[in-house]
Amino acid sequence: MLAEGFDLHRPSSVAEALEFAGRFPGEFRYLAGGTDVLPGLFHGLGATRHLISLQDIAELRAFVPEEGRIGAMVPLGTLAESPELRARFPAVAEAARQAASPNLRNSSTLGGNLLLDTRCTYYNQSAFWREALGYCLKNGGEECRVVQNRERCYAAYCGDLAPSLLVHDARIEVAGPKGRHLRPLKDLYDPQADGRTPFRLGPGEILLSVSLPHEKVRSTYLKLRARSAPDFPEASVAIALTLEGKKLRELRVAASGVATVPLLFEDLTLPLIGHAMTEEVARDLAEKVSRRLHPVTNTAFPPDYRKHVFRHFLMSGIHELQSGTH
Amino acid sequence: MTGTIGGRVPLVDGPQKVTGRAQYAGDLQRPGMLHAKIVRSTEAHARILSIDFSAAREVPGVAALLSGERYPRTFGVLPITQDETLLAVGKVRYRGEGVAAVAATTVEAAERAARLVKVEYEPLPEYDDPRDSTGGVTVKIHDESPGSTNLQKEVRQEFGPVDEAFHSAAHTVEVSGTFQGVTHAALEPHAVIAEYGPDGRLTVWASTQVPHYLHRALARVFDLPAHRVRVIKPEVGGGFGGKGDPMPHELVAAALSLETRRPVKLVLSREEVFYLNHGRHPTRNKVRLAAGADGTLTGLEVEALIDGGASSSFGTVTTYYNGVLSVGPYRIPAFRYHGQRVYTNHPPSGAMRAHGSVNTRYSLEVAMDILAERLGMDPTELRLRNFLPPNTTTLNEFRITSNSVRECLLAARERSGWAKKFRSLPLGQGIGVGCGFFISGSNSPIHFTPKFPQSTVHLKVDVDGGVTVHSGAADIGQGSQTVLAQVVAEVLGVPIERIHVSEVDTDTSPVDLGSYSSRVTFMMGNAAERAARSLLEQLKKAASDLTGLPAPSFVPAGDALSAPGHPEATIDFLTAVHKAMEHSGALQSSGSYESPPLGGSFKGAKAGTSPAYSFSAYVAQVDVDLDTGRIGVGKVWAAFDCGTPLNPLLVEGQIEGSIHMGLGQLLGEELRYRKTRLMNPSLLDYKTVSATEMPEVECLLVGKADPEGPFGAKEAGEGPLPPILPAVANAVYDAIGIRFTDLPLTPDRVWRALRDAEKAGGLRKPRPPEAHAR
Ligand SMILES: Cc1cc2nc3c(=O)[nH]c(=O)nc-3n(C[C@H](O)[C@H](O)[C@H](O)COP(=O)(O)OP(=O)(O)OC[C@H]3O[C@@H](n4cnc5c(N)ncnc54)[C@H](O)[C@@H]3O)c2cc1C
Ligand code: SF4
Repeated sequence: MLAEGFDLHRPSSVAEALEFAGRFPGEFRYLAGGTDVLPGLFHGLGATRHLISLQDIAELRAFVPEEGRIGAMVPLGTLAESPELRARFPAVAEAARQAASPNLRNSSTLGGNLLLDTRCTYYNQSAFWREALGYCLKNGGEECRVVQNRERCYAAYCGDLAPSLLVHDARIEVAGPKGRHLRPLKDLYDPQADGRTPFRLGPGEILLSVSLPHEKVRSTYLKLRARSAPDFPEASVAIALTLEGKKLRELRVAASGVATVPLLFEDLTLPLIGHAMTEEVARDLAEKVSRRLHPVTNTAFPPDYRKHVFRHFLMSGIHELQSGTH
Repeated sequence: MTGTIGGRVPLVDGPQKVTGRAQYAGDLQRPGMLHAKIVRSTEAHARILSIDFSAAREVPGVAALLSGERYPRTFGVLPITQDETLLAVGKVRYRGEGVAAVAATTVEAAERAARLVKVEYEPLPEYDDPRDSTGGVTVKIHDESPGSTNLQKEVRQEFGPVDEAFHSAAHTVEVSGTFQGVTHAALEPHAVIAEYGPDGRLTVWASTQVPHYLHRALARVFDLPAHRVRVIKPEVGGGFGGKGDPMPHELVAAALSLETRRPVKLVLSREEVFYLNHGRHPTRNKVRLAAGADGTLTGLEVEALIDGGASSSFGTVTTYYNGVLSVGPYRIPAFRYHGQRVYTNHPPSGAMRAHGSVNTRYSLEVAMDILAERLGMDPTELRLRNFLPPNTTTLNEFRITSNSVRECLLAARERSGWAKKFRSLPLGQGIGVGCGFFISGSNSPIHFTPKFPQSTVHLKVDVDGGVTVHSGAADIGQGSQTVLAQVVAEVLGVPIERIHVSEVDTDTSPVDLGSYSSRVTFMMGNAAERAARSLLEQLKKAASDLTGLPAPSFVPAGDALSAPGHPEATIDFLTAVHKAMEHSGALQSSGSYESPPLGGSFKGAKAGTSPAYSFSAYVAQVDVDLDTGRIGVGKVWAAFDCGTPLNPLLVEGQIEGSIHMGLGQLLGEELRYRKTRLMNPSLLDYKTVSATEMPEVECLLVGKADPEGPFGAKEAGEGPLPPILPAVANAVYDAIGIRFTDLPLTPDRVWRALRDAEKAGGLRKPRPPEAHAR
């Protein structure tokens, strides 16, 4: 049961939603599919006076897969089942297919997925459980329970879609009190921030849509999870790769579930463009990338295992994209 | 005969369940009902210094506040170990135990008030590892434990020349296993409504497997005569042993109703169900086998250290079962067992499907596999060489009657293509075998006083020809109502639609000891058959009165009684019923079942005795991902001897469900404790197997009719579980040559073992036995 009540507001336009947001500064949250917000509220996490539902805003439901435009309120199930999306942006369709479970995908939205709260065994627990242990940093307490320290939270970003969109060079459109603007998706995540609030989104800002560039890129998404449904990623990798002859024309790699934000490794992949992708190059890349991952003991599997599988997935994903068995 | 027995009859209560109309305890409403919430301990072992209700009392809508002292009488499922109270009295023994309770007009008010109850604790030393509970204990969890231990039960048994057997053995094998706690995870969380009425009677609707034991506990704790207590069992959404004990929250709801004189409803959250637990015991065991040069077993030694958590529950039985349920399906000429169950500050362990037998069975079946390898023998051959025959007695005096374990193994071996696959599949793929046996109803009832049968069934025929069946056996989703209806319809020769099975209500249902120990089909089925035969006699008499033919000439069939050779004398069912009711206006009958005297006369001799045993042999085929360590179970050939399957549809459901549950314990489920803290009290973090991980299951029902079972049937509720774990583990060995003795086999653990094997000289398939199966 919900600890305390809240008021539910149902604006029918972005402008109206922003108006509500302006009316309750610091006292509201947006509600999309609610599959993250509501379990949180049941646990007394992210409690708020006002929920502003984005359900009735038609603009946010637009889905034009041929043009790579996806409204923030499009359900993950729609993405998973779209043949156009799978043909043009395979990693995105695959990430959606592997997210949560079939029933959750009916209500889970893309916007909610990109802004999914970070997760930790010590945080995603009931109010009773957290009280019994004493609250941690992410929950207004003094200390982290996973890595003994008083400064930094290591809760993991566990959304499936972000890495797949990052390797497709996605841009997002955001609306706020000061108007609308476009920016790269990677700028939504602050790699310097810790696991408490890793998102760069101003107060009241609404994520409107995601757009993907048109060029055809081959891509794939591989996910480590305890069960094939409904578990969150314990480590996942998205890869986009195109060859020109034997040489790399394009290569992007991104990860989820292994840090406080989704990671994109541009500085490691850019120098490889124009070169051949050999077994050694792939192994070397996998090594370098995995050194950047900082999983900690706050999910189902131990960190060393998550890193191992990540490396394995990265290499087998590259292999798969190169050999054209895709 | 109508052919309902042996037919694939769908559940009689299926339609109302799949249309959402079935009423579970949580769906029920009573006028003026209050809602209750339990305040749970944040400490694992602590003295309660004070409980402050002052802030909670101020919450609007609060009607009653309760702490343990108000009703301190103990209860427990076993008469000899009544060590639970409805709320903690004086001290708490596990994190999540109830310390106080609130009743209020709304759920929200109850929750708000519960959060405002302030409890002050003085922490005591916490016992997390059972090994620390066997000695050197400074503050005992329960005062009853001997010396400086937290021992709850210790069993030592020895039969035959054990030392001699190990001394002179050509081969000995030892397996030490470690098993984490697992829990039932039934779909329906526990729920209860209690109503103390103006007539001075306490009525309780509870999601329970054993209405009768709850009835007794309520009468005891509140000091009420039993006739002033009534227990009604609505639909139950699964139990698996987790609803077999009278549970503290059920008594809390009753206490709050007694206090307020209003109906009180209490529904546990999923997290609270995890704290209630009563699941399978975390265990360390050691199994030693001795065998002659030809593979004939000469001795078996079993040790078990069992983590009972904070109370006794069924633990005394568990302690026996960890030993005695290893004396089959193989002939064991010498047997020694030492079992200890200790209290710890974990939530209580209790009975869970295949109670007490799973962990020992695992180590034993792995030991059999190792022994076969030592002998250069095919593991199916080793098992065939050692099986108990039908109609025999084990060395600890279990009476074995029907036994088709040999047929089971032969069928599973044949269907799986074993001979071509064993040790011959590519690296990473493997096939393995596991066998088992299980009781078909515990022969010794938990309560012996007063002396009544283990099951009684009443039949009442209405003037419209409908037959209402009253039984105290609890259908918790397994289909006992359907089996009841089938048995009665079969005996009377009427369509199953004539039969209506009423829900368990202690006001009208005769006593049945409930749904545990896989007793229902066997015991209730026999009682129902007898009740129906007695009714049939009355109907034959009526037919005789109508036709002048002697009563014995009538046979029931096709909704009528007919006399072979006298086609003109066929009396339809309704006419016979009306004739039988003439003058009395009533037609009813009763039947009951009492098991025969069984077992030896030594201490603990009754534990594990049963009027019949089921037998099993499973073969599993697996695929181990050498890169990620993930075990994929592709197919299971599950050969099972439940005697005559009364309803193959339900038997197959039980086998598939058992495999699902067993795979959970083997591959991913574990109550993860960090010290005494449960880290995963949710169905997201407690990893039951998902539908997509389920293997294809081929059920092979090869049993022959049991001489004492109803229409030849034996149990199929629990016995199908144990063999799946070792069958898969032995298949994993066949695939990658690595033995796993610590559960669960999560992919990270398998990966670690694969990596270690690579480091230690490479991964390879085990070598094939010299002598292959013929
Ligand atoms: C059992 C379970 C398993 C799950 N497994 C997975 C999994 O495997 N992979 C995975 O990625 N996720 C998983 N999830 C999480 C969740 O279902 C998805 O991430 C989902 O996409 C979240 O979307 P939503 O619409 O439900 O978000 P909501 O819960 O409605 O919102 C999430 C957050 O985003 C904010 N928000 C949402 N939309 C906007 C917007 N347009 N503008 C600004 N802010 C916004 C909300 O305020 C909130 O803070 C799981 C959840 C559950 C309960
Ligand atoms: S990583 Fe540390 S601070 Fe962050 S949620 Fe987990 S325990 Fe709390």
